Amino acid sequence: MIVHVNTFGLSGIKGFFVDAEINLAKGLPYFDIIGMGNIAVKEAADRIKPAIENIGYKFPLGRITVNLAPASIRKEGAHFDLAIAVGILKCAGYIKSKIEKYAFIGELSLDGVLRPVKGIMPMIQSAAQSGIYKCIVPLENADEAALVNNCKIFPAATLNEVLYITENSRNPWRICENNLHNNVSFGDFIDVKGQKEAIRAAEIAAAGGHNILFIGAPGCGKTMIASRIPSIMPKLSIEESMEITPIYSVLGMLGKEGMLIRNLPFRTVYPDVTKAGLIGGGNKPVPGEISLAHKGILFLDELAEFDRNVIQSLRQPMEAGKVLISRCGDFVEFPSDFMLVASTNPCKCGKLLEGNGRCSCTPYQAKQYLSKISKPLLDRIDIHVPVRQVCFNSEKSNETSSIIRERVIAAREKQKKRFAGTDIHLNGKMTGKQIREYCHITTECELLLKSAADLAESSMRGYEKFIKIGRTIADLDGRENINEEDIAEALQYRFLDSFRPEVAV
Amino acid sequence: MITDLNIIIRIWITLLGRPVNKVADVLNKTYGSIDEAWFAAENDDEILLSKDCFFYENFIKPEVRTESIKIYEECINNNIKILTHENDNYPLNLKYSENKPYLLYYKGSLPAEAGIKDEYLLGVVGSRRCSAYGRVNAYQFSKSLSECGMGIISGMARGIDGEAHKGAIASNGYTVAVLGSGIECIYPKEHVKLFEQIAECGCVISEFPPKTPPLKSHFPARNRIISGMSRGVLVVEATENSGAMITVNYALNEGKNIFAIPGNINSANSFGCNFLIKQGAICTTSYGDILEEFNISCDDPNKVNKWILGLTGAEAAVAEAILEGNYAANDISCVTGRNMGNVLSALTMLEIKGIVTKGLDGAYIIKK
Ligand SMILES: [Zn+2]
Repeated sequence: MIVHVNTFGLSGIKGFFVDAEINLAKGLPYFDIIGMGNIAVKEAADRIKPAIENIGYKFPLGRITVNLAPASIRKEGAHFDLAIAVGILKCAGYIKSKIEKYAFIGELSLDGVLRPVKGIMPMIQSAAQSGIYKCIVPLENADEAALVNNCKIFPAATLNEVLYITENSRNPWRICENNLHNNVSFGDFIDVKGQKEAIRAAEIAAAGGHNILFIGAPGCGKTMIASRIPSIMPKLSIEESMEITPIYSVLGMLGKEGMLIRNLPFRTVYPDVTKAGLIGGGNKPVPGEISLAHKGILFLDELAEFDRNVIQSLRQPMEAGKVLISRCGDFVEFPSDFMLVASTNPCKCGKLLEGNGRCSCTPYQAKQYLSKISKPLLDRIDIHVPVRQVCFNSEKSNETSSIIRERVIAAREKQKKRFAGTDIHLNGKMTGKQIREYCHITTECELLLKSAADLAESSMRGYEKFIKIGRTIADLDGRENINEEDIAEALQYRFLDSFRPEVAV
Repeated sequence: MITDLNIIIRIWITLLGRPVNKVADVLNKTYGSIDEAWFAAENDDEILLSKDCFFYENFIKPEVRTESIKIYEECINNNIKILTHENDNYPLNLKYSENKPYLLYYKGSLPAEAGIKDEYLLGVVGSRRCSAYGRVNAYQFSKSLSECGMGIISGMARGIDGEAHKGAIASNGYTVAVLGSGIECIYPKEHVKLFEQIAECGCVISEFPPKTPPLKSHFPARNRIISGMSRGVLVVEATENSGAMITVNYALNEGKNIFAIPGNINSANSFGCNFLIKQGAICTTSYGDILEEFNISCDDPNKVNKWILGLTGAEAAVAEAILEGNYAANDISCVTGRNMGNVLSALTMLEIKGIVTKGLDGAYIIKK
């Protein structure tokens, strides 16, 4: 007798349909699971038998063969346990009612209790897409599973309860409204003293999706400013949240609360990060920080201290907005469309910009320090801005983040209209060709750029970055034309282009 | 008439021991003249010099004699000129200074050769590590003073020294670099180009044979020449223990004028200048102060602020804020009450118009 049970597997951050076929035949007792399962899947047999016995049923005698189809896709994890157990119980005749309308996901413990699994959300999303609208999941996964619209979730604490649900009707789990609106507040720019230059630069970066680097001494406020950038970015749409949350789900980061990610992701990464930790990978590929920062901000703290190889690995994902990780011939894709924010000391001791000879580095040390930052990465950072210690308190207080955010949203609307029909929606993503197409600058602006290049004895590579930033400055001001003032201001945001630390000491 | 051999003998004297003038005195007394001493030392029988004499060892060593010939040939080959204290072109101020150099190596033209009077020579000194404020002042003061015909003497070190030379070169003025190393051993390396420029439009001088490395102990001796050649010394910016203060000490002992540019009382870099002003140095806020003290006339030294005409409102406001001593964009925005975008674009325009300059620490300073 063959029984089919619906269940789901996980590949990267996407679920896929798995048909668990269970065949019970006469013969000597035998239990095998086939269909490209890993060790956790193979071991299911040893968990399922005691689980069934411990809830008071007799394990059927005979040859049991389980096939997890499609057999061509690798399967991982213990969450197939429940589907297999249900199939065996059905074969043995302990379940009378039909079970085709249900999907079963869950790991079993030896005493028949259901354990929570990672990645429930993408699996349920996949169920809804494959037309299975009733899912039985472990109780602890209920809130997270219920985040998916149009799928009825029936949580169960034990295998016994699963049998009860299949035989009797029960109301589906109701999601707690709070789980859809979990907004913690970020710090507000109004709490930052002074630092108008850095905050203005942050506003431009947020508006145009430009990557940004803050340069300053330890404790001068770089991190404080960087961590407040989410407070001026547009809030996530529900669609974006639905796209981001599964990434956290597969890492088990949603926890028992299973709340939808409504906050703009802000991921701080320190120089001790490994390549796999940053871009994803591992034996069973899991998303790295760049994917956790998807649709949000990746903050690299102390950029100059990072391992060059680790930083190099950022290039491809930054360009593509996604990262491909290969493993044994398979590819897993994770999204990685983030805005890069970074901070660095200007020199070894950090005090180079504080003036008055407070820097204690030798000229050689000062020169070496920033040159450690990978050039190709630096090329992808449009804005660099110095941050200095605020020495007196006479400065007027700053605007609130919500006022700044309104301007950012308005500027982004303009960009969306401009780029309608293209594959980008932010100035920061423009290619050279798009810059020429969308940013017309006057002869005066061109002259200005030329004289600036002369002044800097032209280590300035191309004008394009300045024009991009100028475009965003004009957008923030609600203007279609880019004027001289925009370009003049933009020229100030390329601090490192004219910075020669070896002479500054 | 000084011949090649005379010069070789004088080089030999400087290699025997220090102080060189003492060596020369002893030899003059013992042998009647240094030339006699040279020939006597060649001949073992005629050694009258006492064995206790502090340079006896070197005196009898033939290697020292070969060395002096080698140095002489090197100078000829590399176009390095040699000046003895007996020469007419020997700088006058230096001639009358205590412990004057017995022999100088140089490239370029001496003040006398360039037609610069000794009373027009000013030493400009300061720290190697300096602020943007010091850097710009060193450049501007030197530029303006050399426009008025003064010669700028400094030590070609990093920081203030380098800027002082550059300022003089920028106005096609005359400038002298006194080195703490040999002329063939340019230090610091990044000043190779500056060295060429100074040798071109001024003079590079060293007391040390061409291949001498820049030893720490050479610098006080170098500073004594800077002070010795100058009529007065301008201290642009100096920390408490900087070499510039050593130069000032020499200058004080020789009764020369000390000028000091006042600085921020909270900055370590300003300690030296503010301290000197307290001790009675001339508080110098314009290059006109120096011209006045030396009674040198030059048209209208107080030509500040003229440039404010012809700027936009924002640019003028920002320029004025910088003039008041606000160096960073944040402070300027705060003082002028203008938004940051406004301030930043004004800064770029002012920089392009040549009115402000960005210090290498990113701080802004008015150029003129
Ligand atoms: Zn430092």
